[in-house]
Amino acid sequence: MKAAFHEKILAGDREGIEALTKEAVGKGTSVAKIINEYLMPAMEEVGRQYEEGEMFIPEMLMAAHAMQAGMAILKPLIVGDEVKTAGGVVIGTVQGDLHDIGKSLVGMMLESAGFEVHDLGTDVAPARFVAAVRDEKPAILGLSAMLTTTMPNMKATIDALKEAGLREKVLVLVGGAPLTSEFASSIGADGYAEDASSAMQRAKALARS
Amino acid sequence: MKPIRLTLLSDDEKRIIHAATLEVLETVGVRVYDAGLRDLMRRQGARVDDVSGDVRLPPKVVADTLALAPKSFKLVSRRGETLTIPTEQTYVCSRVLLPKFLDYGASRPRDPLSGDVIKACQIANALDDVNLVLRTDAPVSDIEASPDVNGLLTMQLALTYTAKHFLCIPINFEAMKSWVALAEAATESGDLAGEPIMTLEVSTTAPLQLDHDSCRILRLGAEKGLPVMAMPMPAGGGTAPVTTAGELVAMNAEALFIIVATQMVRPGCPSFYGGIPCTFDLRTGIISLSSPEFPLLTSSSLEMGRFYGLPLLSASKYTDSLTFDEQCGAEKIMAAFASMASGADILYGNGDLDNALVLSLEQLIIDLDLVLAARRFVQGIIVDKERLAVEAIRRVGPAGHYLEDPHTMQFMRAGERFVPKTYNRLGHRSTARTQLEKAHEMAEKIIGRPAQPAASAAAMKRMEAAVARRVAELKAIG
Repeated sequence: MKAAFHEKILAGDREGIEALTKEAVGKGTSVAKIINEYLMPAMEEVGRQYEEGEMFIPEMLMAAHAMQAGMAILKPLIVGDEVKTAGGVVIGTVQGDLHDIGKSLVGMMLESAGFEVHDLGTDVAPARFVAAVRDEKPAILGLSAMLTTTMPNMKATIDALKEAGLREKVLVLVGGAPLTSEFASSIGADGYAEDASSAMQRAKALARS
Repeated sequence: MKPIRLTLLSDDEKRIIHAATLEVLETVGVRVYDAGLRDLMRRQGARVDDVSGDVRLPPKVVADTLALAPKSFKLVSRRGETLTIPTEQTYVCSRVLLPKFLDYGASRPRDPLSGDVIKACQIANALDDVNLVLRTDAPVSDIEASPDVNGLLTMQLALTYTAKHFLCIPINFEAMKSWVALAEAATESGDLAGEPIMTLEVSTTAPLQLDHDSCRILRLGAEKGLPVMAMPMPAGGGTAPVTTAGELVAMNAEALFIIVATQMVRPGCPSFYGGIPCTFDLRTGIISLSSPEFPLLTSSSLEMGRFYGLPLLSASKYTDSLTFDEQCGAEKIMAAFASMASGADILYGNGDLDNALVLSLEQLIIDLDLVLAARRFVQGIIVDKERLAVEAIRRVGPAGHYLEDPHTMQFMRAGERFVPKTYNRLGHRSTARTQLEKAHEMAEKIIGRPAQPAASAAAMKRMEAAVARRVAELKAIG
């Protein structure tokens, strides 16, 4: 069964994963086993193939969608804390910026790595980020900006978190084409990621810290 | 002899691409995030969905409105030059500011300083083949002020130290208002339509969106009569179809939409057709402004612009490389050649490194040489009686030489032979080991001289007053 999961995840076969997951549940396989021994190792292989340049982003997204399809079946069956999530993440593109694709890619990769992602979309005002941090209580807040003129709104968002007394409650990870690690440090972010893959790695590291 | 022109698309293919573009504009449209612009376009025949903000254009509206765009016009500089559009030679545009600046010998770029703006102006002033300068919005780190005031003061610096025609890319509306106020102050008449010293870039956010600030920028620019350059920036595979034909259709739709909107705001407003056809690299996730598809799509889109009879602008001297290396040279020469051989009236992107994030003075100088080399190729071979030179061949005869022949004297500075500024043609006698060293020597010589204001004392006084007014306005709005 592990090989079948592996094959379907790598092929991005959503329906195939749904059928396999139902079959495994029907046979009495535990949810923790399906996730930890079947789905996650397959996604790790997806990550490895992407890092090696063998798999392209659309193929990785298809694999992540297949993983999510399986998780959608399993989530209602999770009892207690038998399955641990990597943590909650709120993401969004800052105010004045309509660029969506980089942020969405990060969200998808985080989900496939086991994070619970709450995506606020694009052109998100600092107040909305603050409200989401207050309501969702994520471990990590991910801010995206693609324009040099919207980068200052990352600092405005961090300042708004400070004013709301929430800055110490969440780790802030920033990214976007014009950003640098120096800029991230200068605005008081906790981490900087230059691309979606490193965003996932940084989020994992931040979540462990 | 006409310049060499690349032809990548047959007439049938252009008509097919046009038809596909019209279908996109009529059935999908562009999401316009400004109710004022939507209303204006609705009154002129666009179909508007006020819930989504989508604006769809019937084919007849596109055809009728595009017909209002002038086929030719003139740009001016404050030093009395007139740039006639269209042109067969391609005007060359330098840079004055980008988000980062790379010093000669440095391994990493740094934040730009106001002095870098002045130096870039000095380089542009010193090189006669530079016809225009480009100003992108980015703060300089030694002016402690809000981003809006920072942008205002650096624009004042740029307008003070070079009088060449400006292409400008304001990313927010307040920057646009500041730059218009300064440009009006820099002219004698204060009328930018009558004295067009500045051209405005308007870009979409792919796919098929015109954000709130871009709408307001477009409206203010067109109302003032500024020439507008439509520069959509789709990324094939990510924000546009992965196929080159599909990206061409998407980019064409966005470019035409900007020009139609401009003509609806001010019929007859000078408009350039352009675009920056990026690749969303599906292996790494980066947006590439280079690779073979960039010049391929640039050339194809310029052909589409010519199909509409519109003036053409090309931004294709980009590189994905972080520094002056083989990749940088290869990407830039291919892009420059493709743009010029496709009839771009204006070419920008000179001096850029790292996907238009980093400016280098040395790269500005090297890029100019690449452009001039490409221009020489595109000019082609002029075949006429004088240039066939049979008389000269007869005069010199076998075993002679042409060094002192009158024919050589007549044509040696007439553009027949490219004279590089930075290429090594001295072999081991060259004081510079590399092209980069040579460019650095040139840059040092130019910026070693005291910077002289290019604006008149009266213009500088008017700009001071404009700055004071704008600072007060910006302070009032917080």
